[in-house]
Amino acid sequence: MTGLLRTLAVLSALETVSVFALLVNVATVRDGTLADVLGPVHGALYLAVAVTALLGRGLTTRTRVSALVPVLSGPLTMVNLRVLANLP
Amino acid sequence: MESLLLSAHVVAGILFVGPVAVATSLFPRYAPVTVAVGGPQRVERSMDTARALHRITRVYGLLAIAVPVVGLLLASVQGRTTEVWVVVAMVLTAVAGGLLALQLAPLQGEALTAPDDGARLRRLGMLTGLFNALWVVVVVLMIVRPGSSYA
Repeated sequence: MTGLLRTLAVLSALETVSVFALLVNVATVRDGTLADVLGPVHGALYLAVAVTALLGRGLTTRTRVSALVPVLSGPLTMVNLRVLANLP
Repeated sequence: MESLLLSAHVVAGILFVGPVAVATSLFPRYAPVTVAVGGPQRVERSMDTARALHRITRVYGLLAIAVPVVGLLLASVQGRTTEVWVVVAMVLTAVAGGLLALQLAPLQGEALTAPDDGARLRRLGMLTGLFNALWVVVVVLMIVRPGSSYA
């Protein structure tokens, strides 16, 4: 696994965690302070995943496009990278 | 505190992003090519110069991470992380940083280890122009501050 793919894997995993935390928050306690912290963190991670997938070299079009989908960008990128890693 | 952060932000922007802009712009002119070129270009091309420019690009590029980090800190201290000019500037900065780390620096490295007929250097020149244009837009945003309450 190259450095680019590893970076993208870590970033997309973190993004998935952040979007999951946001959704859990909005579905349960709806804590405003928590959302104030989680929102920008998720925004930064989404931006990092999207830019890395768009500009990284040697990635498939599918990986690039799915990294732009709001909410699903993290999970989709994780799946795409797993598929890529299992290829011979 | 705000004055200190703002000073650090501007100084880092000038001293760290500036050299990257210059080094990436000059790199295609000095990097080696496989085909023979005539005229003054032949004398200018030098592996050592290109290597130095590549080194400046990488080292100052890493140092330049301080600019968005301090900027983000400053924006949160001032409580304006949600103002539109800050958000747009953050997106453009992320694109510029990604361009530098994922395209410009790797392409420069390849141009040094495996020189080609100049096609890669032309691509580098185009991407560098885009990189510098992004910084121009970001700086204008920092001055005009559209969407700011006190502009």
